[in-house]
Amino acid sequence: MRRPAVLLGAQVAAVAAILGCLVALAALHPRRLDLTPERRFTLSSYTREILGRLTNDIRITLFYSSQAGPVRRDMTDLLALYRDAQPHVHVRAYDLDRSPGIAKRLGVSAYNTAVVEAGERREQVDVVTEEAVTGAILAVAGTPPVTTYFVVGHGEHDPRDDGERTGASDAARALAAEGFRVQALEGAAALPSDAGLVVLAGPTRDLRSAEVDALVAAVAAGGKLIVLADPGTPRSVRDLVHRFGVELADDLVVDERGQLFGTDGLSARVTYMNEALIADVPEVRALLPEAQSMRLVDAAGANADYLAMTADTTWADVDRRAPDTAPAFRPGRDRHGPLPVAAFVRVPSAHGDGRVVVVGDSDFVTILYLNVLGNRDLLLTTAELVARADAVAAARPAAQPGGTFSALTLTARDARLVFWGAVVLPSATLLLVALALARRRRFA
Amino acid sequence: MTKAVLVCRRELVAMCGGPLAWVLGGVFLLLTGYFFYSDLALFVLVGGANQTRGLWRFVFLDYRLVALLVLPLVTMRLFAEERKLGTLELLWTYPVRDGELLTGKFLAALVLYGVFLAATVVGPCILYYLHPFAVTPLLAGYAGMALLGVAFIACGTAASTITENQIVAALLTYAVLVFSWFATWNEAAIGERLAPALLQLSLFDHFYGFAQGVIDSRDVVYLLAFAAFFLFLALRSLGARTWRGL
Amino acid sequence: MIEARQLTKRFGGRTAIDDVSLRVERGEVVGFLGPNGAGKTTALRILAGVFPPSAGYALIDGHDVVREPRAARRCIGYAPERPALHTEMTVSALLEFAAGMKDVPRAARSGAVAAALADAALDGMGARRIHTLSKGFRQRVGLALALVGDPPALLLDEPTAGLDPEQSADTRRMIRRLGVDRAVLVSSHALAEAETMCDRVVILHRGRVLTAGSPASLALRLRPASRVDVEAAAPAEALAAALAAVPGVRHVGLVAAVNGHARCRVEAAPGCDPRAELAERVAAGGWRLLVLAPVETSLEEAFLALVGGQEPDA
Repeated sequence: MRRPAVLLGAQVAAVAAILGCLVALAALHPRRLDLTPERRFTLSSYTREILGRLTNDIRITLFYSSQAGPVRRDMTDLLALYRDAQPHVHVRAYDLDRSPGIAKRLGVSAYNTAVVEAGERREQVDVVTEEAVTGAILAVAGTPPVTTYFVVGHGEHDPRDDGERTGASDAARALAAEGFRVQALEGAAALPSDAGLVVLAGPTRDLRSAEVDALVAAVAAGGKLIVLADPGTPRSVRDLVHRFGVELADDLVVDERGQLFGTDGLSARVTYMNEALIADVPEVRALLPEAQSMRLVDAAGANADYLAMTADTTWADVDRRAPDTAPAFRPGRDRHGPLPVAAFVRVPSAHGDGRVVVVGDSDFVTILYLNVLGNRDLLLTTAELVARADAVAAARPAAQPGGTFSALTLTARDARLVFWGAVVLPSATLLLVALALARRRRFA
Repeated sequence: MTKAVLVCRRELVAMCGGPLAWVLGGVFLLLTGYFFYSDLALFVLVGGANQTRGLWRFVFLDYRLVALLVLPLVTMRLFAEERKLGTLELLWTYPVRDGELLTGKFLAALVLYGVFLAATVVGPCILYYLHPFAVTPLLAGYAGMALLGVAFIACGTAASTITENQIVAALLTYAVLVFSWFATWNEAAIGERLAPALLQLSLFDHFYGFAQGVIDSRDVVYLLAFAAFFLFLALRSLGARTWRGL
Repeated sequence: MIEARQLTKRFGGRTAIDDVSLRVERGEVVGFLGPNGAGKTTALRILAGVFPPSAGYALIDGHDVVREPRAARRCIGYAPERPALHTEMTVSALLEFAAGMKDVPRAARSGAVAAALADAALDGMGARRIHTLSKGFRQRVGLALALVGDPPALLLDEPTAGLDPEQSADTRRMIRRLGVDRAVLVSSHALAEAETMCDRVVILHRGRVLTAGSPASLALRLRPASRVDVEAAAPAEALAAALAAVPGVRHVGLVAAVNGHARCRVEAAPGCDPRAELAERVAAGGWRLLVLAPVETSLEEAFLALVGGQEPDA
């Protein structure tokens, strides 16, 4: 008679084997229910349209770290979606530690990096997300990128600068992922002919009149311009945008009642975007650290529209008293919100419409603020709006309008409600009952 | 009412009559609430990234840890206490199958966990009231938590059938679950061929999808298989009295 | 009603019981006796359906406990040696749970609980929490648990263990009463109480049945001789010789001899009472009789002697 322990062991092994087969079977025919609102596990229609336009073979090589299982699975799953959507896309994955030769050949030294190649052209993707990969595909095989110049020399945010409060290098990288080739341009007097987009990111010193004229002329000839102007911006910049029908109020938009959890109340929350201009934008949540409002005026040859407005709880401190003193609203002098903080101008011309966007703040593109709330998407949206006439009208992948614009804002009061309601109340109730029961037991 | 329901009900009444279940519930809600609040704070400040990736993923990954901490303490008494008291022997003289006993006890732990989990909805509800958001990723997250709970409880129940000491049962459960978690951390040590196979077996990897708002059939099947395996073990363990004695 | 046929149970290499057979009919109370470790509990557990035998059959009301486990278990009420109670519950709640587990229909459950309380002399204690009860009452709750659902067969493992003499006596009376219309198998390691409680007795030792029969016949077998101690002021050998001559005396042994007094232990045939003659013989010898006392074989002693391997006299 067989020993029962051996029999038991055999049974357990058999059951484990059966269950293992079931799991393996499931792995062969996976089915997914994607419940993310951005449908992160399906490629966005933007990416699919880009992929649909591909005619040549694309090879994507992924280098993963053997230590980080879930990340690797994310990346391989994502690349598998590309492969499934477009047979021209071929994907290979290597463990970076075990394949140093291949990594060296492709110039890769960091974990979780991918390289996208089409023919001779090669593009490295440092963070494997849908937008980065699609951006890389665009770069190697898609539509030519938009050459973007950030004007420097007047105290603007420099795209080569890595300083937290002053640098726009993060912004440059974000734009690059969308197919904007960002370079710095010393002075705006001589704008290169290949400039697809010019950005004036918060100048603090006056531009020369020649530069202003050059910019106006470029727009009139069908050029694309973004002007980011902080409160206190120099006169020449005010004149520049005035030529496009936008008058900067030189005030400070304050938002104390709607003060965000973790902020100082002096930042302006952008809550409305003009849906006539930007379709597919459910909500906007950008936070402009120090913004001025603006007003549309008549200007020859320019059709201006408001692009973005702040929340109802904001008001404009006309004399810009903060942060030196704690401002209080003065009826009759200060203005109530919602306040316009961005405008979009169209300058029709024979060579195609020139387009300008004016935003009442430039700090939101700095490294410190770019990733706060929806700032990044505000930048990208305006860049797309201005620079691409035939912008793909499809919904973009996550981190683009549609996904990120639903980011959360929470006032300090709200946060307290969450704390007491979610952290303290439920657990305290149960612990009190426990205490009561324990006492009853002891006395019983 | 089937016998399993009778056993389940008695167990639940016994659990709720003592302070332990309430303390565990309080701890569970305190920790999950705290994680929810701090993940939310982080997201509001640094956010901008999409909500599922930036908030709910972290919330559910943290909830998973709380479940790991609390559930073995819920399951430890299921069979161990009965064995120690001698009531298990008596149960075996009733016209009831081992499977029914197992089901009843398992269900009781599951119901208790279900109540704890349901109570964590308070946080997202308050958030929704303040600022409506897309709810669907939460469905995936909670589905994952439910399935993970089933897996943990199955493991804990099996451990409880092996010993009459509740602490040993809890420790055994922790050992198995933590091992399932760490087993795939050091892939480099495991070897390239074995690694993908082991990855498939990692309990915690199979929760990741749910935390990101996706219900993947591979994950569902794995978690259910995990639970089924341990429930089978529990059944066999109960049946071992035939050749091992009480 | 309760039947064990050549019941054998092995755990690993150890044989707990071997070839145990017995029968209990309705209206009988049968005692299952033996020292600790004899296998009584194992046999009871097999009959109660806790685990199956390695060989042999166990039947309750004709249902094989292995082939028809649920039918068999519905007919029994089992009370383990240590009352298996969830102490945080009330008596009624626990009984109601047991009723449900024993397939008592929902509507009949409260009635079954009340009946069990009454049968176990626990009237009015239904609402008490078990942890508030003394050992004696807890034992009764254990009994009530076995009685719930009115099963025709009762298997009670050492129901008087740990009780004081009065509680023990009460319990024995209760068991006797219960045995009137049920088949009751009671295990014990005290022969004395088996006498008062049981119609028949089965003695188990090291897993095997040593002997079985009614307590009276057993008592007879275990007390193979009646013994009398005689002490007189007489020289030892003379006394011994005189006593040995009494008819019916089988053996005279010297217990003590000191200071001219001698004490002898006289063994006579069973049923024979030689005291009168012994007294005469002493008087006839001219010695002063000091002690004439029957020696009771303590039942435990006799039992141990039996269990020690001595053959019982026919």
